[in-house]
Amino acid sequence: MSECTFTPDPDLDDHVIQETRIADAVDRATHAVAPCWPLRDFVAVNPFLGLSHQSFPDVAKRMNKVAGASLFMSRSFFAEALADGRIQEADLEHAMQTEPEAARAVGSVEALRTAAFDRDPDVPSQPLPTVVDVATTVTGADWSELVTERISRWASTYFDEGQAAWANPWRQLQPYAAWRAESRYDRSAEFMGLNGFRAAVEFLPESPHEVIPLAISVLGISDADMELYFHRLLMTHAGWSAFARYHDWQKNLAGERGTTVAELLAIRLAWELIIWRCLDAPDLPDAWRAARNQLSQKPERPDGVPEFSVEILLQTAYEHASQERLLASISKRPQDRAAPRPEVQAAFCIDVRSERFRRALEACDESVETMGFAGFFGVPMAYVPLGSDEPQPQCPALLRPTLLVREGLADANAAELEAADQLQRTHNYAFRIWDRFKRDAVATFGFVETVGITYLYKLIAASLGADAVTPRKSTSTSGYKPNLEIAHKNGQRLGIDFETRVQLAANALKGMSLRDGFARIVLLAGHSSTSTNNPHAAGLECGACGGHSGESNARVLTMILNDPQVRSALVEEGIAIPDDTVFLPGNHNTTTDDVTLYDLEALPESHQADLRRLRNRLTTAARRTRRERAVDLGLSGETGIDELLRARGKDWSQVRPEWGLAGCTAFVAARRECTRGSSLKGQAFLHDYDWKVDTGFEVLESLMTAPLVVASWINMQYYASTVDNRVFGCGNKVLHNITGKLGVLEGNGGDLRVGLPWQSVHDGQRFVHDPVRLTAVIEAPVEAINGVIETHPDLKNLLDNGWLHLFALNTSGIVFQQYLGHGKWKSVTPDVLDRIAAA
Amino acid sequence: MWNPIVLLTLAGPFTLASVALLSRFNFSGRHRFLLAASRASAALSLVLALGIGIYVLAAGPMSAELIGVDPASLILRLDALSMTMLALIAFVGLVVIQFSRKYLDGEQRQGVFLGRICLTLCAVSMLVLSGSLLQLVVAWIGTSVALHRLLLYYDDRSRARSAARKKFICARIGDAFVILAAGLLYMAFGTGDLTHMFKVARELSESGDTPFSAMGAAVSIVLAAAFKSAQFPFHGWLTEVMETPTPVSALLHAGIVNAGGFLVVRFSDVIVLSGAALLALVLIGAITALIGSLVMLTQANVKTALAWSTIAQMGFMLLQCGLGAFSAATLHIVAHSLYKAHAFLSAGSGMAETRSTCEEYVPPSPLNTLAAGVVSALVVLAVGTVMGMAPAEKPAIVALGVVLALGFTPMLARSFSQQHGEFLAGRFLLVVVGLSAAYFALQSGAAALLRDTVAVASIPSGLESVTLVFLVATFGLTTLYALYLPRWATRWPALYVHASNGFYADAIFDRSMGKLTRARFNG
Repeated sequence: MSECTFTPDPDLDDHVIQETRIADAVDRATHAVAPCWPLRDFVAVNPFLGLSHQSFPDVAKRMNKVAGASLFMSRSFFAEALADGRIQEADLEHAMQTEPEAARAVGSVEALRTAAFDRDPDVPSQPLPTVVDVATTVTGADWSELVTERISRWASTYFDEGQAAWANPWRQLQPYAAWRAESRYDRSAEFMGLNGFRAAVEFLPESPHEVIPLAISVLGISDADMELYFHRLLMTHAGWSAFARYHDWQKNLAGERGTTVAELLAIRLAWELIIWRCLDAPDLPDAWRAARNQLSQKPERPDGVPEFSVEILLQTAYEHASQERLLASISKRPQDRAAPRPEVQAAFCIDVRSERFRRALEACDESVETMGFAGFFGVPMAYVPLGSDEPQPQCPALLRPTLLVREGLADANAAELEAADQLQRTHNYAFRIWDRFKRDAVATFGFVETVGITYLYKLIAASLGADAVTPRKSTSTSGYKPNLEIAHKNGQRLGIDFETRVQLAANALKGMSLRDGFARIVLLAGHSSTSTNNPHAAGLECGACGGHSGESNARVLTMILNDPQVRSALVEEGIAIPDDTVFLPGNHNTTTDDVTLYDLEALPESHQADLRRLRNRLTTAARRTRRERAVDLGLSGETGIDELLRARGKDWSQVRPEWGLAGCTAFVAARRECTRGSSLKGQAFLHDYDWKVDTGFEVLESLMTAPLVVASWINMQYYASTVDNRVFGCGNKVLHNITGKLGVLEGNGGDLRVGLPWQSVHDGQRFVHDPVRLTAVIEAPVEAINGVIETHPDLKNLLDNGWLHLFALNTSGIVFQQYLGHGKWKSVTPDVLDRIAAA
Repeated sequence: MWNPIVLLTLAGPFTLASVALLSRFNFSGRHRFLLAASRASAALSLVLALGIGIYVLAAGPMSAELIGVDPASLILRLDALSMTMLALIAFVGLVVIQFSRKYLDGEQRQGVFLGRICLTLCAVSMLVLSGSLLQLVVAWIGTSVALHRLLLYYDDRSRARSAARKKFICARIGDAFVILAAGLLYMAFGTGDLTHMFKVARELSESGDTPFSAMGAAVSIVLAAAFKSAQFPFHGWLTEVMETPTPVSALLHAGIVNAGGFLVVRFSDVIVLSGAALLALVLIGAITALIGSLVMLTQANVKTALAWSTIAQMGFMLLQCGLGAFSAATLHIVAHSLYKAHAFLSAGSGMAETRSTCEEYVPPSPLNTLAAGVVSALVVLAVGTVMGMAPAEKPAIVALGVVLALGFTPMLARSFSQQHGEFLAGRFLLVVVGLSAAYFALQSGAAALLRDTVAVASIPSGLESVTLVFLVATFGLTTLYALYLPRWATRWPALYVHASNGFYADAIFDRSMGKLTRARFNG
């Protein structure tokens, strides 16, 4: 092969490729990809995270081009809603008003209605072409499949987090260099008919920074088309791009610049060049030149209606309808309860699953108050389990943990703790030796010959639900307890110093709008779930704790709040906690609705009666919540529901242990008085907020930039996995094949799959998640809300581009203003209020 | 000869087939009926297999001609081998059906799925019960046809179709060898009745006057087994058939892929007549075992790694057959089935708990490894001697004991750790002693159970030392390579690339069946 292996395209106008313009395009394309977290920290991510600076309809068009995705339900879905009256005429009219551009294209409400009952138009589901796609068309062999398969195979060994005992030897290199080094030996493509693959790899530049301009010039991509073309290429292995983005995300949190996605782009461009060069297909160049024009073309629609106009209107109408039902349950005059000192205050995570439990707990007694707060309780920590040096992040994905807390033992001195730590390390090491015996070459035969037969028992036990297949450490029974003492170990600073403790305590209490009126017992309940043999188990855990149980965060904050010294320091912050107030940590199991209480040895004798009463109420509330949830899970009958629900979590064949956050549609930041007594059906994130005590609106700022954004992430994750599970979801659980201990493939290969499983949004008969964009309701003056929006561009993007709806409550707890974007608000008209009242 | 016991044996396959048949019709309450009936029929099969198995153990093997005239007759053969396999299949079937009830809940075609599972179970049951050549051939083909329908449960997936097609090609080649073997056997023995055939074969092995057709049949059986049990380089289908729900993989790896091994053990009396067949088993088995276990180490996908593990285990099982250790091979089939069924069904729990699990080991020092090797060998030898497995009498068991000792070596070497002290080494030494005892106990148990059922052969005299050296060298090198991976892998990086791609055998197969062009345009 000669020097001119890769020759620039003669048609390219601008032979001098502008490096900065390429770098910009790479930057924009790589940032258009949303990250996905590995399974052990699986948390919800807005799949359009990198595109929220564009409007929702524009992103719908873009995702259709780069991934063949649809951001809307099929028209038959809306037609059904129209037919059964869930969408009313008024909703259609409202949609026509709010989306004027689409409304002009469609014409009239009647036209819209007719269109809804039409069959789905032939939306081009074929995404923009790549050289590989064109080669597939030209040669009749599926090179697209081969390239995705090869990249995915390579990526699964490169990013592998511990599955393969014989690891990829080039993992220490940057992705492109690693891929190139390996590909020089790899004969697979040649055996599949791509002659000269290895020679072509030799000719590729050594640096990814050179491959990209080379590909641009050889394939003749114009400046204007680069970003879209790059984005399209990244979407051909969308899952691995997302995982690479996670790597970059972690680097960015640490203040470094991540280039993993750009490296993957270079690899994919290298494949474009290799197919371009190695394939014996004389028609390819001409076909490609014709095809690449599509990159810059505006798609022509036969009926002249801009793409998705009908869909965006129907979606808006559908959301409006469901919004009214929601606002009706929120918007009522708060009842001024004569407030004697509550007996118990119980704070839960804002997670929608807490709403049901809180309602049930409040229903037990007037004197029980509940609160909502992000489930990491404002403690941005990473937790180091005994016997490990690997901190596990216990805070939202948006944050970098700034504190390291290690697991300790209740009532153990330093020497005992050290001994326990060493023992745990020995156990871990022994477990790993045994694990290797199971799957090492040669040893594996001896393993089967001697131990294989014992799986008879394991199969029986697991089938009877008596053996949890996924090992779980039960922290509550074994005396483990977070250790807050300052210590230095292996170069890490562990523990929390006094000033920080006071700060954490003050921020948490202020964040909950809890400054006075403390009850005798204040329960801080994190949450977790129970499921076994479930790759996506972390997705059911507390998202605010990074996809882990919230137990340790609750325990850390209670330890701090029960410290008399901290309390006296808090007085200076204007928070006086009565001496007889005891904070109690707990954990709400969202699969079973049982609440476990911890660290009870700290509870004084005087509070034992309170504890008994609390326990009774928690038991009653749990039973009520389970009754309510049983309906959604298709469990009928009065008897045995408790046992059935508990059994689900231990069943290794159960693909729906619980519904997780399916159904999440609303976010409410207001005093509980505004919502107490209304059923929000487990669909609302509830954050306690009282703007009258929020000096300088600092709490408002933090709740709008963190919990609100996270709620929108979760809502968009469910939305996208519902409307197009093929692109944004991870498909069918019964086909899942865990790769690299970090993610799943569907079946025997293909791309890494991100997002939620089909079984998490669908029960076999119908969608369990209602695909609507989040409706946020905040009780605060609109000026203050505007002030926060204006100073936070990311938040402004989300709100101004239609990624969620925002309403404000007035002082009497009535919905009165809707955010229109760009700082403008609209009064909710009296007739709407009337309809709401009637609803 | 309408023995009630024999008729009772048929009740299991008969109910399974009935459920499969009913699953093809639409009637009200069909879904609930199939959920209940599939589980009930599998449970019934298990109860019957266990009950009759105990009876057969007490009363001795029996064989009953039900219908037809030799060679076109239906004969059930009830002996320790067929009853063990029948119970195994019924057990795995019951576990798989129980698992599928919740796992596929909400699937519109769950009933169809359960019906197909029942049909497959029925076919495998008839295969292991076969007492005549014709029944064996029909059940053999029926099993793979029934499995094919399960592999195509999601027939809208192009990768599922492509994998099923690959399996289909291998299965048909395997079928051809089974039919060829059946023809040659009939030529050699003049009967389709297996009981009669094996009696003649034993007489032949004593007289040493083996007809050529019998030897040809033995080799054909070995080749059929190699295709059925996914032996290198015809293994590719097994690493791709996870395009269908997990329970099918469990059933396939625990119930069907064994059919090759079962065939060899069933015909062990014939196999031992041919030195070439035994040698082929040793070579195919050893090569597949080693390649499979090396490739397995490189795989990042759980189910793909499990599939490579099965390939290796099947290779090892055929190697055992080649060494004449047919009872050990049967034990291996049972143990591996139970282990692999569990491994597949629990494949959803393989997440990293902490990041640190992927950190590479510090490989043990050469001295530690040597010490571990010597200790392992001594323990295996000592325990074997104490438990009455004297090397002179059972050279095959001893040869396999060497492999066991090699397997213990890395475990023991790693446990000699400075950081964790003698505590750990002591514990693992106890583990090695315990496992050795379990090994020999299980081996003698299996040998006693199958005493009159399978052939007893030993490595041809004079070849003992050659075999031993061959095993120690190949399995020993592989053990060392895996133990010192971090160091050696970087020295020969190309080996990693070739191994992780399964030495390209599959890519060549794919290309010759036109995978790229077919997957997209024809299906």
